[in-house]
This record gives sequence, structure tokens and C-alpha cells, in this order.
Amino acid sequence: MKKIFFLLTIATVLLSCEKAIMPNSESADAEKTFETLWQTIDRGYSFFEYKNIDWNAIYQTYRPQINNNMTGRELFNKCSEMLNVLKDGHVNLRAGFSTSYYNDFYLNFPANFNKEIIDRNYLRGFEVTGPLYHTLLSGNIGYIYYGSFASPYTEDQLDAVLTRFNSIAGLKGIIFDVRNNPGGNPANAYRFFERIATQNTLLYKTKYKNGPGHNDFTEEQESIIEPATDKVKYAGKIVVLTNRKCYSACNFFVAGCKAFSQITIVGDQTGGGGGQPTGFELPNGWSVNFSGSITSLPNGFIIENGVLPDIAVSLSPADEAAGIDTIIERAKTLF
Amino acid sequence: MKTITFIFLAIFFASVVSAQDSEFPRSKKSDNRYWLLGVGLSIQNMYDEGISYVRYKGTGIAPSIGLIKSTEKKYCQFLFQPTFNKLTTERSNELRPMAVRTTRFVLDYQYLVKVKEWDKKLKLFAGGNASLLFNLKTAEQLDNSQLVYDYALSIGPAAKLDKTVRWNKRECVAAIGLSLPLLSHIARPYYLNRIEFIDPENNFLGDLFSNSSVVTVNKNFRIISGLSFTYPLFNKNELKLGYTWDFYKMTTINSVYAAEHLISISFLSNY
Repeated sequence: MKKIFFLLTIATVLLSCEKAIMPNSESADAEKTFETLWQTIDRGYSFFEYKNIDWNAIYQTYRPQINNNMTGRELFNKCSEMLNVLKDGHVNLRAGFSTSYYNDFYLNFPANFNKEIIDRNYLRGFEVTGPLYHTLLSGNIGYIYYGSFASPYTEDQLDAVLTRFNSIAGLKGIIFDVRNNPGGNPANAYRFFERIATQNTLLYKTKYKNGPGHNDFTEEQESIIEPATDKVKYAGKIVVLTNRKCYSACNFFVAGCKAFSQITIVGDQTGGGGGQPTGFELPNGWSVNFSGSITSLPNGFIIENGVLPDIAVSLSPADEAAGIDTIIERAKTLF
Repeated sequence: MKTITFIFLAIFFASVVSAQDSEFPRSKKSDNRYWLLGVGLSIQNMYDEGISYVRYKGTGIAPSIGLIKSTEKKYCQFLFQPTFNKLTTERSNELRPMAVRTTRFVLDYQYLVKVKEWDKKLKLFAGGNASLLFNLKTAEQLDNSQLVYDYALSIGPAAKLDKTVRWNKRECVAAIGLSLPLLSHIARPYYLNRIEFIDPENNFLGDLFSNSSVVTVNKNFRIISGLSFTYPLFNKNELKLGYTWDFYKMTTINSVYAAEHLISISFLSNY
């Protein structure tokens, strides 16, 4: 009996040690949730200096509006309002009942894209290979529509599409349309770049947050594409079509296109999204996403607010009414 | 996972049943050598500042496999113990499921020698312990920051106190063990748990240990203690019931506190 008592005593002591050492969960009340949210952004967000945002002043504005008697919905609305000051589509507050988005980066600009026109007048008779919709325009221009970098295509699927176009005698070039592409995984862009690169190519440079200070960043790290050696390649001209809804990984794709002399970017400026999304969980179970890095082109241009096209073209209302995509028509003249 | 669990349990119980067979070949060696095959219930508590400022807890399954070699004067044990848990908090709900899946691997090597004996019934062993810990956590709610890991390769002193007790007409051994890693090679994720998706040559596995350092107990405090009761079967095979408490606090750019309570039953097959 003594032995059992002795062993139980030891076990109890060990359990008590753990309770004493391990911190308790932070309070889930509105004020603590707000404080944690503000602090998380303060320590992790990467574009304060670039966007000239005084985050301490934002605290002074919003903190007095927060109290523990607020409902969850009221707190969510206030926090979302505060986060929208950052004007960043990669900043989201996820509360379960709702997720906050900043989307003025495309809502304040013309759409420059009409999917109905493309479906009816350009993609008729198209082929689908994974997420890639492709067809021939005017008999000698390849056209690929890729709607989301979140939809991966395989190497074999890309082989199939490029083989199709490579086999067409007299092909003038390929139009790669990424309008309304909200992003996804940049790896899907790199797979494409490997097929057109002829040498190691510097796409852009990225520095990541590595500390709580607003200017705590790593050294810039280069993103370099190595040409594929044993896969189907494409050596002709390419025109990439963009608009303001081209965001995040799509923005990175268009930024990378700037590194290739055979690519011409046509359409509207991209919507931006030049920081790597990063997440943290708040004490009440909500989570927040925010940009945690800065990417710039080799010439130093920061891509957070979008990448400029080489040739700016808008969808003309008259053309749209007539079922014509002004941007595609302009692209066709470039071959 | 269900299939693996089923196979593991089948092997475990098949071994236990055959262990009672008196025809089972006996070891002819002077020392006692055992294969250890065990299964346990793991109860974990975690507070990881790389995920949130909320304490998580949960239960899971913990199989184990090992080798034990012991003589009158020494005790040597090699143990591999993976555990698979799903942790959550009382604040979780259907709209905001707060969940962290953990896959934790522990590889321990312990070498102890007898330093003191009282009345042939109570023996104190002391020596060293080398332990590899890798705890991979997935918190899907954090998107690109969802992969968090704790890695530590540690060495330190260990001790074990064995008390021989007679129970059910057999000589059983009740033991208390303690291990305290002093020097460790540790790694945790980069700031904000970043994985460099933007880099075409990004290599998550290769980057796992690029943020590592050698530290002492101030940065990696870990204590492993255990109670066990070993019951002899026929043919020098044994059945071992154990309780292990494994706690660590690892500090890099932020801190993680993790505790595991493991209740296990193991079959020790003499060979």
C-alpha cells in the first residue's frame, strides 16, 4: 500500500509541475482578441514602410472602440475595418461566420474581361487538358486560358498542350490568358517558365520577415528558374493577358514573365498581392492571414500593388457589345 | 491508419498469446535480451506560440518498438515510439474548428549501469540517454504557416530505480525512471513558420534543419519520467505496464510547451 501511495504521489507531483510550467490560454474576450490581432500584424506584416502606414496610430484610433461587451459580429466588423487600412487582399480575418476581404484592388477598376465573349466567340471548339482550356485562333495562334493557379496542371498535361501547338505548321505564337486568375500556388507558374527558359533566369527577389520590428527582414533571396532539359519546350512568342483580378500567385507569374524577352504582357495592370500569405490564430479561435514578405523585380520594383503591362489595353464597351475581346484582338496583332 | 493499427494490434496479441507456450525456445545467453512491442494511449497538452496563445490537448495512439538488453550490472534500451494525436481546445466549434494534428517520433537510446543495490531487492541504475524527438504539427487554419515542428537531438543523464516485488507468485519489477537531456541540437520553424513557396527551388525537407542550433537546458528543457511494472511470463518473456510523462519547453524565436502522458502496455519477447 505504501508503494502504491509513493508511486501515485510521484505521478501527481509530475502532473502538478506541468500545470505550473505550461502557460494558460489567453483570454478570449474582445479586448484581448483585438490586442493579439493588432500585435500579430504589428510584428508580422511586411508592407508598413512601403505603404507608409502608421500602425501605432491605427491602434490609437481603433482601440477605444473595442470593449468586452461587444458581440462577436461587432468585434469582427471593427477588426475587419482596421485591417482594410492595409489595402491588402492577402489580409483576411476568418471568424467562421464570415471572412473579411479587401477587394478594392479590382472593384475600383474596369473588369477588362468578359468570360461569355471568350466562351462564345474565342474558345468555341476548345480542348481541355486539366485546368488548361486551349484552342487555335485564326488557325495559327494558340490560345490558352488558365483560370486559377490553385488548379495544378501536371507535367504531362503541359507536355500535351505544348506538343499540340508545336505540331502546328506556321504557328505564330501563343496567347496565355490569365485574366481573372485569383492566384494559388506559384509552383504552377514555375512549371510553365521551365518550358520556355533557355538559361537560368532570375525572376524576382524576396525578403521575408524575420523579426518583430517593422524593418526586420532576411537578406533578399533570388528566385531563379532553371530550364527544363527533358520535357517538351516552347520557343516561340507568347503574349500574356492580364487584368486587375490577376492576383497573388498570378501576380507573381506576371512578374516572372517580365524576365523573358519572348513574352509580351498585354491588358491592364495586375491586382497585386506581392507578399507571401502567413497565418496566426487568435485566442478566440479566429485566424488572421497577412503578408509576411516583400518581392521585387530584379530592377527593384515592388510588385505588391501590381505589375504593369507592356502594352496597356482596355476592353472597349463597343467591342464588348459586339462580342469582341479588345485585348485578345490586340494580342493577335503582335505576332 | 486503421489498417496499420489493426496489424499492429494483431502482431501484439499474437505475440502475447504465444509467449505462454512452454515450447518456446529460450535464450541461451547470459544476459537478457528482449524485443519490445507495445501500444499505448497518448494524452498530449501543448501551448505553441508559433500557432496561437491557446492551450491545446488531445489523445491519440502510440505504438512502440524497441530492444532491451540487461544483465545483473547494466541495462540498455533502444526504443522507437511514434504517436499520432489530434489536439483541440474547448474554444473550438463547428464554424471555427481549432485543430492541430501531431505526428511525433521519439527515438531513445538509454545505457545504464548499476550503481547501488539494497538487499537484492532495490537497485539503482544510472547512466546516459540519447533522444531524438521530432514533432510535426499541422494547423490547417493557418494556411501557409500551418506546418510547425519541434526537433531535438539530445543527450543527458538518466537513472532508474528497480524494486523487485513478489506478486501473484512471481518476481515482478516496479521501476521509476528519470531522464534529463542537458545538451541538445534543436530546430523550430522560421519566423512566422514561413515556407518559401516563392522560391522555385524551395525545399521544405531540406530547410527543416537550416534553422537549428546547439543549446542547453535554458533553451530546451525536457524531462522524461516514467513508472513501470514488469510482470514475468513463461520463457523469460515479460509484460510491461508503463506510464511515461514527457515534458519539454523549447525556445527559439518563440516558445513551445508540450507534455505527453503515455499509458502503455508492452510485450517483451526474450530472444
